[in-house]
This record gives sequence, C-alpha cells and structure tokens, in this order.
Amino acid sequence: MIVLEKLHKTYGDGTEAVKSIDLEIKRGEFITLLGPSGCGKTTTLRLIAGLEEATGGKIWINERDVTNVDPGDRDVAMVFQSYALYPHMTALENMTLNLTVRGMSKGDAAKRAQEVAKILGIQELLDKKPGKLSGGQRQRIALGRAMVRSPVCYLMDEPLSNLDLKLREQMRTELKRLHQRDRVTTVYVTHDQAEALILSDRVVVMDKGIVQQVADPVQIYERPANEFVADFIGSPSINFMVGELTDQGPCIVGKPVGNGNGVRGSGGVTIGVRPEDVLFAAPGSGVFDGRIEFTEPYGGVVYAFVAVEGDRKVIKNRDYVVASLDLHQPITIGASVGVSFREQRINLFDANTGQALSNGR
Amino acid sequence: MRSPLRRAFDVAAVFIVALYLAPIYWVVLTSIKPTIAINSAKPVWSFEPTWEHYREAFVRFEFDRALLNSAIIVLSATFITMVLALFSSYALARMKIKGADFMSLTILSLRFMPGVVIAMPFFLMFQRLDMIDTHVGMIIIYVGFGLPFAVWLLRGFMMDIPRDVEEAARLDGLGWISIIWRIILPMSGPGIAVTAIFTFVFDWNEFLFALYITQATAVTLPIQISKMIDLYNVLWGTISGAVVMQLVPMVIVVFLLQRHMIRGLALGAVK
Repeated sequence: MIVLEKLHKTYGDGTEAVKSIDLEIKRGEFITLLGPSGCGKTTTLRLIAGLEEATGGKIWINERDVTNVDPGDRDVAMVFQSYALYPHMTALENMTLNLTVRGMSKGDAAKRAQEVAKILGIQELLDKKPGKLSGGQRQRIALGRAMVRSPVCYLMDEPLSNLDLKLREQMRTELKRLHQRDRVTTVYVTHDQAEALILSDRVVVMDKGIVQQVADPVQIYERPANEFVADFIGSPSINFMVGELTDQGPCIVGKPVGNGNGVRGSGGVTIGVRPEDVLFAAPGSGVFDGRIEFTEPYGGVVYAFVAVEGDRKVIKNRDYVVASLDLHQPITIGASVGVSFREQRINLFDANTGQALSNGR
Repeated sequence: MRSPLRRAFDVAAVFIVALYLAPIYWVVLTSIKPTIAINSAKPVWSFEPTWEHYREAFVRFEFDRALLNSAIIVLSATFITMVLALFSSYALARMKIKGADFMSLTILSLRFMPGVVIAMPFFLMFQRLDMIDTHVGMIIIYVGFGLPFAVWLLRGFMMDIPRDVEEAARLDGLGWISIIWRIILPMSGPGIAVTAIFTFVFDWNEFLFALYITQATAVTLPIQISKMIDLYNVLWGTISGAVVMQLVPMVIVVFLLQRHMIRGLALGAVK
C-alpha cells in the first residue's frame, strides 16, 4: 500500500508542482495519474520513486516512511517514457543489473530474467543491445527490467507514448493482462485518457498540482467532480450549457431539462451533457431547437454539430452542441431538430465554482 | 554522375589535405636524407637513405631519455587529468550545484591566461618546493593547466547523456560512484576519447612550461629537440628524425582513439 500524505513539491524556481496531495493506493491496485501537461502528475510519480525530494508531507510504502529514503531502497521499479535502457549493456544485462547490484549471483539473475523474458516473449532479444532493438522491443525490455525485481510497485511514466498507435494498443492490452495476472500495485502516469480509462482500477485526475478527483473510470466519466474533470475526460468533450436552477430542477432558457438528480434550488448552474446523451427529436419538442450545421463521421459513430436556434448564448464552451449518433441514424445537414438530453446522465455544476452539485444546494 | 560542384569540392579537399601533409612528408624525407643533400641549395630528390640522424638523436642528444620522460609525464598527466575531469565534470553537469554554469566558465577562463603568466609563479613555487626539474612537478603543471579545458569539454558530453538513464540506475540501486563507473563512463566513451586526445596532444607538444621547469632529468621531447639548434648550427637532419619520432606516438594514440573521436565530435555537433 502506498500512502501520500499532504505531499508537496515546490521547485527551486518557486514553481509549485504538487500541492498537498493526499492519496491512498491500495495493494494490487492499478491507479493512473491523469491530467494535462504541467499538472504535476509526473512530479508526483517521481516523488514516489524518490527521484524528487518532497518539500512537504510524507510518503509511505507498506507502512514504511520512505520520504527520505534513496530511490534504490524504496523497492519500487520505474518504467520511463524514454525506456532509459543502458545502451552499452545487452538486454539481459539491462534486466539483471538491479538483481546483481543487490547481491544475487549472475546465474540466478539470468534465470530470473529468462522467466520474465518468456512472459513478455523477448527470449531471443536478451543478447542484443538496445540500439539493435525496435521501439516496441525496447519497451518490453524496460518492462522486463521492472518485472524481474518483483518490486512492491511499478511506477510507469507515460510508457507507451513513444510507440505508434497500433503498438500502443497492443502494449496497453499487454499491460492490462500482466496486471491482472500478477496484481502488482501500479502507479501509471499518462495524459491519454483512453489509456487511463482502459487500464485503471482508479483514476486520479490532476490539474495545477491539485487532485481534482479520484474515482473509478466509470464514475470519472459519468460523475465528474467538477467542470475541469468533465471537460478533460471524453472525446469529443462534454457539452456545457448555461442553465439556472429552479424548484422543478435545472432549466435552460426556462425549459426544464429533467430531474437533475433531484438537485433543487436557485441561481446559475452549468449543465454538462456528454455527446452520446444528446437526443434529437422533432423541432419544438426538445429543450431547445437547433440546426445541424455539419457532421464528422468517426468509425461506428457520427458527431453532429448543432447550432442553437435563436442565437442565444446557451452553449458555454463552444459554438455548437455536439451529439454523438449511430453512424446509420439518418441525419440531414441543415435540418432543424429539437435537442433534448438523457435525463439521468445530466451533470450539474455550480456556475461560479465549477464544482459538481449533488442533492441540495 | 557527380555534379561539377561536388567534384570541385573533392579537388579542393585533396588539395587541402596535401597542403597539411606536405610538411610532414618533408620532415620524414629530411630525416632520412644525408646531411649534404639536406644542406644543398637545390632540392635533392634522389639520395641514399640513411638512419644517421636517428642514431645521432639517440647517441648525442639522449633522445631515449627525453622520450621516456615525455611518456611518463604526459601519460601520467593525461590519466590523472581524465580521472579528475570525469568526476568534476559529472558533478558540474548533473548535481544541483548553484552557479554550475558560472563555475564551469570560470574554470575554463583559467585557460585563457597566457602561459607565461603562470609559468613564472610556478617556477618560483617549485623552486621553494624543490620540484624544479622533476617528473612530479611537470605532471602537476600539466594536470593543473589541462584540467579546466578537459572538465569543460567533458561536461558538454555528460550533459548529453539522458538523465533518465541515471535515474533508472538510481532506482536499480546504484550509488553515485557506481553510476559514474558503470553507466556514465561507458556512455561517455566518445567524450572521454576526445578529451583524452586533446589533453595528450597538448601535453605531448607543450614547450613553455617544460622550458621553465626542466633542466636535465625531466627534460621532455620538445625541449630536447630545441637543443638541436645551437648558436652555430641547426641540425636539420637530427631535428627531423626527432620530430618524426615525436609524431609517431601521437599518431598511434589518435589512431587508437579515432573511431571514438569521430563519433564523439559528431555527437557534440548534433547537440
């Protein structure tokens, strides 16, 4: 188990990269730190690894305070974005260095490396130097180097981002398979939400050095804690609409949009609806009317961009409401439609703070 | 078919190389010419080769001792310079030292000083310390004078080594010394080769300090060669023989390190 307690990191130049993070990572959990660049996710990972010194707070690994322990003595293994293999050593030497440094005999270390190589399908690469290997192969060696140690936890810093799309998907599946097989605690850093949602037991969404939300992927997607999380997760991104809260629930330009999870009150709210929860009906029968301006087919779905009729500034984050529709649903560009939303899937956010509203206000 | 421009470049390259090689060719030729042929007013192209000048360098000018002195002093100085430069350049390149850039430039700037400025104080100091005309004295001077440049040069190479690799080594449980020894050293091979060549060549050819500090026991090659010119005579043949012998070790060193060096120079270039 890894516990971060009020973890803080201010760099020498005054940049506050990580601001007082509290996080508990359970044994065997796959947890992803997700956020835009500069959000502090990599710094957090490096703090856990011991590659950065915390300027405040504590780090516990299996009930041991490791805040001031050397990286080599924390019993964590890291997989770097650049793989960081030793170019002058063979793959085998790369994988066994940490074992031999810790006093294991060369023979035993090699045997252990062979076992891991078999799991990763890299047996025939072991006598090659990194320079002779492809990106995907290097990635596997880097992964193997982490695995031979059987560490308390894996720390992975965007390990797939240097691979091409096909290979990335393949390795992603591989990581998932390995984790389900061994259940080694894994802290994974990425800015790719697909990776985060697919791989993780829980996702930590970060922004500006602060944890925005910690939850399982479904909840992160369906019940974001604030506008930042709602906006960051999902592609195309969520529709934010200007609304107001009434005793009947949330409304847009006076028209109720649904039950709104029982949230009642008054004042301005931001109504967040995912593209797949936007529904089309006959003009006049929806919350408001719009005109389909253009479409973007994408695989099995098509994204329809709808301009709100009457030129009201209803949409907060762009000019159109985006709807994700089945590819075969008939759509006519230029047609007028009534836009409504799947009631249970509406998210409400405080118009001022951006925080999600649950029951009552 | 090569373009005419490319051809012109090739011709120019051959010409420039020839220009550089001409003096060496001339020195080699002179070293095996009989003295009469050397001193003839018209260039003599056909002659009976002789090893007389080489013999004279050894017999009359104790060239073997100068050769040994140079070897001891320069190899020791180069080795010590490289060891010290390796650690200090790593520290300046990597450890979070306030003002590392400034420090690095200051260290290099010591090298901007004219040699004479340093040679006099060294002479006075060494006189008190009884180190005039000693191998140790010469090694100290060469290490002291060569280190700034070596540190500066090597630091550039070290900064090109990805940090991730060292961090991976730290996570693998290696300490600082092990990281330098097992990771940095092998990875900075080209940089070390280049720096070692520069240091070796500079020390091997160094004249000024050797002139001040050495007299008889620690005399190095360049000084010994200069003794072949006296008030009445310039022994061109002997000088040429000595120069050829001085060149050979340098050529060997450069050839041995050449492969690394070319990689090294390119590495610095694409930075």
